Parts: sequence; structure tokens; C-alpha cells
Amino acid sequence: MCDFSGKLIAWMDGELSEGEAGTTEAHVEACADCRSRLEVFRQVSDGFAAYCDAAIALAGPQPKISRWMFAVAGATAALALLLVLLPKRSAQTPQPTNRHSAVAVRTATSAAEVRPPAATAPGLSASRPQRIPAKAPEPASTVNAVQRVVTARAPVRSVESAPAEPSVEIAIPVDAMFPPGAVPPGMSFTAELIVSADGSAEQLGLRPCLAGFERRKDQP
Amino acid sequence: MGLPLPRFATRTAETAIFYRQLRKPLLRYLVSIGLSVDEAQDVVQDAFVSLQRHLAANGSRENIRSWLYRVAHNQARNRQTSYDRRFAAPLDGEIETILDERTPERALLEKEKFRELASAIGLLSERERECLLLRGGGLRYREIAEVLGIPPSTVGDTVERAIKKLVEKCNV
Repeated sequence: MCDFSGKLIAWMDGELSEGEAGTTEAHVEACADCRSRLEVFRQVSDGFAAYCDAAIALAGPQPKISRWMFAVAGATAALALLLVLLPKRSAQTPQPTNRHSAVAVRTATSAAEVRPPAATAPGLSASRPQRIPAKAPEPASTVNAVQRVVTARAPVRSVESAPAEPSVEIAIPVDAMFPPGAVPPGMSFTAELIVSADGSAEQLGLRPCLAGFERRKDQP
Repeated sequence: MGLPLPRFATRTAETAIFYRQLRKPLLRYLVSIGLSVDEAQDVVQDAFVSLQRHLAANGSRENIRSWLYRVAHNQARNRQTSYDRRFAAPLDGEIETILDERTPERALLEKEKFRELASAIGLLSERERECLLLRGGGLRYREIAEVLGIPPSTVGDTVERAIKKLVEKCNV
């Protein structure tokens, strides 16, 4: 056993300093024992790698659907669930027989109760909705990935001026829908749901938002 | 007021480059230390989300490779139940199938030696296996030390001890 036997593995891994590597190399060229030891170390290293390959092969094939696909599916399912639940909520108030007139009446009262200043001059802060946690149950696959926020708004819009404000907004974090790096940080998406007076969904849209940039309707 | 998009774009591009380079070796490491493929993909995904945040917070850009491995390694350790599975249960039963498929190409080790090696690997300590796995993934001793939180000199000693153990048990 010569002095260099303790340095052979570090040399093989390229971990010796330049000077040490030089002397070790010179020695290996001259010493048959060290060369055969090196050969054994290489065989064992390769064997270890082969064993790991085998272990990985046993671990099974790569699944075709990645996790974020499940997250998107989860978000869609939650949205579908909301669509189902919404008619029940609105059933608490008397159902209008004539859509237009009934909505107009409710508009007048609830607008007065809920946000009188906003009705005349809806400033940015006044029009910002209050956020309440969603009641929809989390699908198991998205428990950590998706935090849902439902924004409830009072149904203050009359049907005539309807196209604007969504009734329900669902904020969906970007990393729940896209693989990391696909979308710039700070960007998120909001699913907007416009519900008509009878509780059915009127319109559904996906709106991208950038953190720190609120959508303004009324510029001064 | 302009959108700070160029900075977003730079960070995203950085993460994307690391993702392309390091995703597969990371998966390989995690599966090797005992995670299922699904678990490993979860951990890798989380590690890259953490990296994105790290870069967004202007974290250090040095040694990103060991940074990522460390994050993934620690998350894997948190899933302790599966951690030892890979090596705790030797490949015994399935080894024949694998050997039949592999040996024609890999004439390096014939079946008997492979079997010996498998049982020898089972005798290594957890730390020794981790060092060999990270070394097999191409990490430098310095990087392995960062991942495992031990001094680089300890990594050198551990690698040497592990390889010599394998040589001894395998009668190569």
C-alpha cells in the first residue's frame, strides 16, 4: 500500500489541488498497483450508477400529466361547483318573475344601502370589493397550490348598464396553472363570472392581472 | 408609470435555464434516495418555485445548483416515510428482470457481481449513499458539502470510505 492510495479517489474526482494532482498523476503512471486500484474504484462507481439506474427503472415510468394540469382541473372544478351553488344563494331573496323590473327595484334599494357614495362617484377604494374566503371545498390535488378568493359584490347593477361589473371574481395564483417560469412573477389571473338576476351564469371570462396595477374604470 | 417587465423577464429566463439544466438530475437524485416519481416531481416543482422566489428577492446567484439540491434534499427529508424505502428494501425480486434487460449492454458487471453490489450498497450509511449519489450527479465535493450541510473535507472522507466499503464487500 503506497502513500498515494489515499488520494486516488479524490484525484479521480478532480478534487485535488493542481500541485497534488500533478504529483499523483505522475505516480499513477509509474505505479501498477495504484492503476489497478483506480480501475477497481471506477468499476464500483459505475456499478453504483448502474444500481441507481435500476432503482429508477423500478420506480416506474414518468406520469404524462404533470401536477399543474391537476391544478387547472381543480380550478375548473371549483368554478363549475360555484356555478352549481350560485342559484341556491340567490334563492334566499325572492325570485323575480319579470327580470328587468325586479332587478331595477333591487338595484335601487341595495345600492342605497350598500355603497351610497360609490353610486355617484365610484372612487378606486370605494369600488374595491371586500374579499371573503371561498366556501367551495378544495380538491385534494390542489390543496396547497390554489388559494381561491371569491369576491362577492352586491347586485347593484341594473340590467341596462349590465355589461361591466362581474358578480363573482375568483383569483387563481399563476403557479396553480402554469409550470414555474412560464409566466412573469407578479402576474395572476382572475376568473370573472357575471351572474344574471335569476342566478344563472351570464358570462365567464379569464382576466390576467399584474400585481400593483388595479384596473381603473374612472380616470379623474 | 412603465411596467417593470424587463426585470420579470430576466428572472423568468434565468429560472427557465436552470429548469432545463437541473430538472432531470434533480429528479434522478430524489428518486434514488427513495422518493416515488410523483413525489420527486412534486419536490422538484416546489424547489423551482422557491428558486423563482429566491431570484425575485434578489437572493444570491452563486452556486444555484447546490442551492436547488439543498432545497430539494431538505424537502425530501421531510417526507421521511419514503426516504429509506429505495435502499431499505433491496431490489431482490425484480433484480432478475432488470439484469436480463441491462446486462447485454452493460457487460461491466455480470449478474453475480451486481447482486453483491446491491447488498453492499444496502450496508452503506445514509450519509455515505447521499454523498455517492450527489457525486454521481456530477456535484463537486464543495457542492455536496453545501447540500448536506457538512464540511467539504468530511465529504472527501465519506466518499472514500463508501467506495472502499463497496470494494471490500464486493470482492472486486
